[in-house]
Amino acid sequence: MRTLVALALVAGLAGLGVAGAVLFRPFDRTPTAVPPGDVALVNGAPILTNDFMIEVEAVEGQPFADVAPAVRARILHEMIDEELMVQRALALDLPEQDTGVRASLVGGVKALVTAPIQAEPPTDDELRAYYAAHRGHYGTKGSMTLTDLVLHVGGSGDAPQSVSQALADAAQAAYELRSGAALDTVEQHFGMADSGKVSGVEQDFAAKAHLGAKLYAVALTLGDGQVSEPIADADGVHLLVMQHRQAPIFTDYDAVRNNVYADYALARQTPAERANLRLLRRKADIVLAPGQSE
Amino acid sequence: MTLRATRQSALALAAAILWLLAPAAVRAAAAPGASGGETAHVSYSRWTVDGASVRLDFLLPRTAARGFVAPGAPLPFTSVVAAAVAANVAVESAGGACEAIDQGEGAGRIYVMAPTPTLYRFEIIFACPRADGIVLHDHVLFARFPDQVNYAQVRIDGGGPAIQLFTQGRQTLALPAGNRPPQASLLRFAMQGAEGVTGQADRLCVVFGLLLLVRRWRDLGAVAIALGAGYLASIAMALGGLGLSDRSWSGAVTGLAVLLLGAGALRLRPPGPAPPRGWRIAAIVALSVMLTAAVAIGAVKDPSEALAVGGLAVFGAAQVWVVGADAGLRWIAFAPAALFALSDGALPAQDLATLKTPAAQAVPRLLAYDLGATVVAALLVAIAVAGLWLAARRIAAARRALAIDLGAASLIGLGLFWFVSRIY
Repeated sequence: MRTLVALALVAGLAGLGVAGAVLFRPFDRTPTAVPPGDVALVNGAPILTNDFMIEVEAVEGQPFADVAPAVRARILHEMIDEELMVQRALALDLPEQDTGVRASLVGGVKALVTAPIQAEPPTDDELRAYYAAHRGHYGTKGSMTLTDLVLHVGGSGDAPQSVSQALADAAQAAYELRSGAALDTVEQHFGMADSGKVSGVEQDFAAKAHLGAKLYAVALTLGDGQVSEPIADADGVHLLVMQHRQAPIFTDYDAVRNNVYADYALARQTPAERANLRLLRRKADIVLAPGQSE
Repeated sequence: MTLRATRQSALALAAAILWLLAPAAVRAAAAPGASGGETAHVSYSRWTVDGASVRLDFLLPRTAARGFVAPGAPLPFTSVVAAAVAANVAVESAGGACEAIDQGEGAGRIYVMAPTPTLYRFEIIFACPRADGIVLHDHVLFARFPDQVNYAQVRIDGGGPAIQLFTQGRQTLALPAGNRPPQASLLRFAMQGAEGVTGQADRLCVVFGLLLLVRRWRDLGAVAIALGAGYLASIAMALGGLGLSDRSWSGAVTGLAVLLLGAGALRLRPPGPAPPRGWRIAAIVALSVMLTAAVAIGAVKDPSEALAVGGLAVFGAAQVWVVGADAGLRWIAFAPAALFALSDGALPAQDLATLKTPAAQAVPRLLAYDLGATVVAALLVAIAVAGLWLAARRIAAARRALAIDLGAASLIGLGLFWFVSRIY
């Protein structure tokens, strides 16, 4: 029995000792000695010797051992300044309050996420394929100056007419215009009107948006001074009169290869960033106030 | 209903309470923010008077910053904490209020210093119209935390530092002429120690646990020796530069002491009807489950803390077994009191160390704190023992045993809950 009691006492004291070793630590004190591997401590935060050597070599462009002590001291001084500024920013909660700091942090995270992608440069074939698929992005934009005449059909007007009648009238109007008749004269004679969808010089993308896909496709086929064939659309029969057409000029691949490279890299980074955000959201605990949505 | 039947029912009820507390304790341990610990709130300030200029360094534990926002709200931004601190400290002089000056370089009137892992640090410089009649004001968080103590260090014109305490009842300090600021009296520290024992439920439970263990008048001496030894050990460790790694451990150790005192009381229960076997098994299983859960959760959070929990568990199990196994080692039943005193005494020692108080000033004040706590705890036990001794003459032995069983079971449940919920 005595042996058991003695063993229990020893076990108890050992347990107490283990607990004490964990629970009691030296008081927080400002360190006076720099631990091995660090070159300085700034408010207790270490500046690693390795970081210091890399910085010196990056700034001076020569091996660390070849850099003069005075230069090393200057660079260490600058690194301590930087650490002080970073600590100050954290003390002031700048990441929570300053949009510039937040943008930098976001950029830093994006750089981390996309680093593996950046490490794999694309092949020339991949770049050419990307260029072919997005050729419209590389060159001058096309524009057009045209008039869209429309002959409305049906409705409750004094002289409602059928689509076939309108097509016949529009064909006659096109003939007159091609023969040199003035636009105003043709409008009055055939009862046509400017649809108002386009006016002045229209960039191609704007003309497409204003005219709609059907009329825009016809407009692209017209040259300066040309008149289209009648086009039956939902609101009537149209005639397009092209005053001036400036076709887009596509830049050659070799001339824009750098731009293609940058666009291609961006296109590859975006999915990685989205995947990262999906992960962050999955791990995050996001609570919206009542009535809010995102 | 016979006495035996009443007793069995009461014990079953105590066992049920124990089991009901077990999941509550696990939930508390797992809940976010349960790690705050139930130790008293503290903050620190250094006031350096130099002529008509007063520099204040205010150190606020990060957890205390929750006092500036509604309960359950996230920690406020540092700027919010800084503004709240600035609004609640002030200095006056004979010539009127002292103005917090703009420190330039974009720092403003309150300079936010680089924070430590546990403390916000702010610096304010007050410019006074006159250098005499200086009065320091500190109202930070006393409205929210009435138990808070602000440990203050005051220096005047290059003189030596003096330790002062700002409390809810004393939020101003008038400085005398000359460069010798007044020291907080030893009595104030003794009162602080005494209030620490009487002002919190867990500490009163320590006293109650000691009461259950005292069988003879000379046991009161053992109580005093255990508490005194623990407090002296805390001073020795502080002088050796050691402090608690986390203040919440003090609350957890207090919970453990309550648990072990309850278990010791059961182990040393006076002769009487034996408790039902099923109840014993239930209590042992409950303790095992809880300790296993504590170690497991600790392992997930921090393996070293799991080691500490495991070590304390081994100590507790050995201590409880030994006191019942060898009558000559019965005095070891009071060891949890020493453990409590060690962790309790470590708190003011750590507070004074935070202000880098010289040992010559710190030791007398810590002794006063410890003496206040020890005397009050021993006195409470003595008064209660005397009362019980008088009452016990009319109470049957079986009823006394029942009271001890119920009290001990309650202490085990409460202690276990406090221990687990305060670890994390």
